[in-house]
Formats: sequence, structure tokens, C-alpha cells
Amino acid sequence: MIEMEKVWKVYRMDSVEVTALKDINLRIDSGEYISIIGPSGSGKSTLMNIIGCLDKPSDGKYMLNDKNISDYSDKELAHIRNKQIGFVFQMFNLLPRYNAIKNVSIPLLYAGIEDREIETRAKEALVKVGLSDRMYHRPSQLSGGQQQRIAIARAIVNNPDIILADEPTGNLDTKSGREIISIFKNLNEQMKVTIILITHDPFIAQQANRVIKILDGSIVQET
Amino acid sequence: MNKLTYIVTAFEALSSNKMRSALTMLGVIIGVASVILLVSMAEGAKQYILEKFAGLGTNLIIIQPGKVQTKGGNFPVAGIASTHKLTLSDVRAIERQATYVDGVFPMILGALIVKYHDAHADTTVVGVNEQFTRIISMMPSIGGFMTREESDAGRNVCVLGYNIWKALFADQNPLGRIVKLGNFYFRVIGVMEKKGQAVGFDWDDLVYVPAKSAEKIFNTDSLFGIRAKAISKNVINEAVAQITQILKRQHNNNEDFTVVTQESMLSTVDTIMNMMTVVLGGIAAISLLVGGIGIMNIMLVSIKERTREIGLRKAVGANKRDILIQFLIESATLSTTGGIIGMLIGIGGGFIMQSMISGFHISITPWAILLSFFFSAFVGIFFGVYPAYKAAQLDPIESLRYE
Ligand SMILES: Nc1ncnc2c1ncn2[C@@H]1O[C@H](COP(=O)(O)OP(=O)(O)O)[C@@H](O)[C@H]1O
Ligand SMILES: [Mg+2]
Repeated sequence: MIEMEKVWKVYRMDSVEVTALKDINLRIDSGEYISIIGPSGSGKSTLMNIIGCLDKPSDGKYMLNDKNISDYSDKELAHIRNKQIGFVFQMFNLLPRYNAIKNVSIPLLYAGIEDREIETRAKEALVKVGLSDRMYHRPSQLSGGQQQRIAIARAIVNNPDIILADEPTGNLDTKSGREIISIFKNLNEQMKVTIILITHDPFIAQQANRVIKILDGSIVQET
Repeated sequence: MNKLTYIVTAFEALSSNKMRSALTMLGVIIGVASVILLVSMAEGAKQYILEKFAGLGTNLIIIQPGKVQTKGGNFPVAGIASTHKLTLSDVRAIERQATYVDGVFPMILGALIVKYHDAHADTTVVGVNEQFTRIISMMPSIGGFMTREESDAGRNVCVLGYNIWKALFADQNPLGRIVKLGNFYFRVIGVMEKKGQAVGFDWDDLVYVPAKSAEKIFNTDSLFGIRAKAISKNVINEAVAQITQILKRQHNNNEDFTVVTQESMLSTVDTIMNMMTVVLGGIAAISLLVGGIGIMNIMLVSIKERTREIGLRKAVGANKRDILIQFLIESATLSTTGGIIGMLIGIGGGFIMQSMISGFHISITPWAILLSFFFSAFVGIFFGVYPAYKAAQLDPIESLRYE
């Protein structure tokens, strides 16, 4: 379902070229749980952004569900991100003026879902991440772990095929981090959601079915 | 995203920073309120002037000494352009010869102090004839007006304006009493009905005497002007032509006078006042424009601050158009909300000023309200386009990383 063939990503800043990804060949099947590890600046986020259709390869072929997305328009890419992909970031990226329900609702606003269904689905998603008692709280009233759970609820609210998590435990203490990881594990096992998770923590990485190690823009090891 | 959701989203964003939104709207509020207030004031002044002139009787023809060398209906202030004067013999000539004229009266004006025993009052003496009441459609409320005989002979009789009566006699019956005008004694034969203020003067401060007596008081035989009434609306232009012909003959074929209808004079006033309305409205519209620039400025700041929000929205499925519309609606909401508040303040302020300041008239015109409202909405959208476009173009990855 995710297939990359000879994918390159080169950033040009003035005259300097930075090669963030070199000749990536990768295949991820539906329902896999994958960890990506590697030192800072090795290209993990770049790879994830391409998988998530936030960015396009400079060269090579990227097929998502057997479709080549390289010639998709802004509107079509936005639609794929909305329906098939859920992002979880290190910085949570919640809107401070919204309570949990409204934060989780944002993807539904762009999905053409009927107004009265939006709240129901947002609440369901919050229940799934164990926040049924914090639905009307704002991010500033919650702990980091709780905020990240809102972000996960937002990522799953539109029932995506893939969840992309870029260092989701990077800003959390060990205990909250483990809780977050167990949510991902549950989503993968019970809902068959594909999980792609970037992490520095070897303990977290090894819980995945497969670990991909990246160094200087190349995949150096798969286990 | 459906339309209602866009609007709700805009309100949520704006109300999360109420102080800033209010200050941003202030520019538009002031702009719209001042457009409405100034236009309403100018319109009110226009209607007030037209009303007061129109109150002077219908089919009125105005004859002034002097000739103004312009087309159209401008009429000269007495004396400025006159080389030759109008006299009572001109009035008699019009009365005898002009068949389209139903009545005519002379006017001699002068300021004086009128005295009765110890009481006195500042007044303007107007020398007229017995036809005055019929042409101007004003009646004495006590006693009568001068007769033809009194007018022709120049008897020392006078009719007091309402305020003069009150000032000299309080509530006493003044009929038959003798008042002093300049060096002359006049018998009071009537008091005019209360008429109120007109443009530049108060009807109730006048004292009416026969024109011939006024000639004596002021020692002059030149008239301020002559007023005539056409026999009907349909022949008013013929009446003007006739009067012009008669007076030319009287003045050795010199057209050293001006004959205009009240109607053409009013249309000049109308033109001038409309110009004033447009100029005032235009000045106020500039402040609305400044308000629009304020909106653009704040939207640019807001987009900078909300870069991560924009990145997040794009990551979860917003396309460029969604972001563009979201921010356009925010700026349009700012400007139209400001527009509505400004509208209420403009209308309310107008009524308050009208009730507090006497002689201040406003006329709330629907077109000024609609125009300023739609202009404010337009300003919001126009000045919102650039910030919204910038927001829509932001790269989601960089935006999400923005500190
Ligand atoms: N927008 C960009 N412009 C220029 N260089 C970039 C940009 N984004 C990432 N890079 C560079 O690409 C390399 C990979 O970055 P990234 O994928 O963020 O690494 P990681 O997530 O593994 O820390 C780094 O050297 C980084 O400096
Ligand atoms: Mg990274």
C-alpha cells in the first residue's frame, strides 16, 4: 500500500543543496506497525512528510494505495491527508482557543461531515484515547500526555488507514510516553491501522513489528 | 467546510482576542458612523432649507436689482451687482401691465429698534404692500394687515411679528397702540401668526409697514427686491418673461435686474447641497478606507501568529481555498460587524444630536446606510484578500515547524 522506488529529496537553499533522502526503496503493507529510528537530521521527518502527502519527492516514484500521487493537485492531496492519513506531532499542535472536542473536530470540518455528526464522532474518538472526562478542557488545562491523546484522537477521528507519528513521545515523561505508545499499539491491533512512528527511544522502537534505521538520508538497516 | 462553519470559525478566532478585534473594528465603526452622520446632516440641512423656502408660497417669482452674468438660477444678494435700483414705480408697472401675474409686492428692509414706552426690541422692518399676506400665505392672528389705501398712502401703521408683540406688550392687546420706529410713530393694527425660524432670520422678529412708509423711515427709494406670484404654475415662465419685458421698458431697455422663479432657485440650492453631501460623504469614506488598512494590518499579524494553526489545518485536510476563505471571512466579519455597529452609532448619534441641539436637523437616508454598509463589507474583503492569499500559500511543513 505504501511503495517507494528510488525516492530522493533534495532541498535547494540559494546555491547550497541539502540531500535529505537518497535513493529510498520502501514497502509498507496495510496494518503494519513500523518504527523509524536514526540520528537527528538523518531525514526521518522528510520521509514521513512525503509518506503523508505534505511534501513531494524530488525524484523517484511514490505510490499510495497503487496511486502515483506525484501529479496530484493541492486539493487532491488535501483530500488524501484528510481521509487516509492521521498526523501526530511532537509539539501536539493543538489550537489553544479550542476545547478537546473542537480540536478533535477540525479534520471533520474539512471532510464534509454533517454538523450534528461532528460532535458525536469527536466524542467517540476522545473516548477511544481515554479522555472521556476531559472533553471540555482546553489544552492549557491538561498535561502533556493528555494533550497528546487529544492529538491522537484528532488523528483517528476520520478513520484513516495510516497514522504518522513524528517523535510523539519526545515532549513527554516516560510514563506518559508509554501510555501513548500503548494507544498506538491498540489502534494497530484492534483497528488494523497502519502505524509509522518516528522515535529516538530504543525501548519504544522495539515494540514495533519492523524497525527501519535511517542514516544520512539512506535506509541502512531493517529488522 | 460549509458556510455556517466558516462563519462560526471566524467568530471563534476573532472572539479569542476581543480587545484586538474591537480596536480593529473601531476604524470601520468610525468610518461608517461618520459617513452616515455627515450625509444625514447634509441631507437634513438641504431638506430644511428647501422646506423653508418652499414655505414662502407657491408660484413665487423673485425680482432682485442687478444682473448676474451667469446662466441658471443664481440670484444676487441685494446691492452687490446693482447699478440701477428697483423702485415702487416698477412694482406699479408690473401690477398694471403683467397679465400673468396674480399679485406683486415690494420689499424694503432695514434693522431698527422698536420702542413702546420703556420696552424695546431689535427688529427688522419690512416695507411691503397689502398683497403680502396673500402671496406669502401668512395671516395676522390679531387684528388685520394693512389695507390698499394705507399702503398706497404710506400711512404710519404697522403689523408686529409674534416675538416683537411679546417683547413690547407681553400678552396685552396691542391694537391701536403707538410704537416708535426710528424717528416715526406707528399705530399697531395687527400681530402676525407665529411662523418660526427661517434660513438666516426669524419671521417672528419682523415688523411690517407700508413700503411707502419704509421709504420715509430709511430715507431711500430703492427696494431690496420685488416678489410676484404667477396666476398658475403653467404660466410661470410666461410671467417671468412678461416681468422682464416690463422692467426693461421701465429701465430704458437695460436689463439691470434679475428675475428668477423660486423653483429654479431651489434647484440651485439643491445642486449645491448635493455637492456638499457628496464631499462630506467622500471625506468620511476615506476614514473607512483607513479602517480597511487597519484590518489588513491586523490580519497580517494574525496570520503570522497563527502560522502553526494554518500548517495544522492543512495537514489534517484543508486545501488552499479553505484557508483563503477562512481568513477572508474573518476580515469580512470584522468589517461588517464594525459596519453594523457604526451604522447604529451613526443613526443613534444623529437622533441624539438632533434632540439635543435646537435647529439641528438630520435626515437618515437609506442609501447612505446601505452604501456605507456594503462599502464596509467590500473594504473588509478587499483588504482581506492579500493576507488571506498569503495564508493560503503557506507551506504546511514549514508552518508546522514555525516557532
Ligand atoms: N525545508 C528545508 N530546507 C532545507 N533543508 C531542509 C529542510 N527540511 C529539512 N532539511 C534538511 O534535511 C535534512 C533532514 O531533515 P529532517 O528530515 O527534518 O531530519 P530528522 O527528522 O531525521 O531530524 C536535515 O539536514 C535538514 O537540515
Ligand atoms: Mg524530525
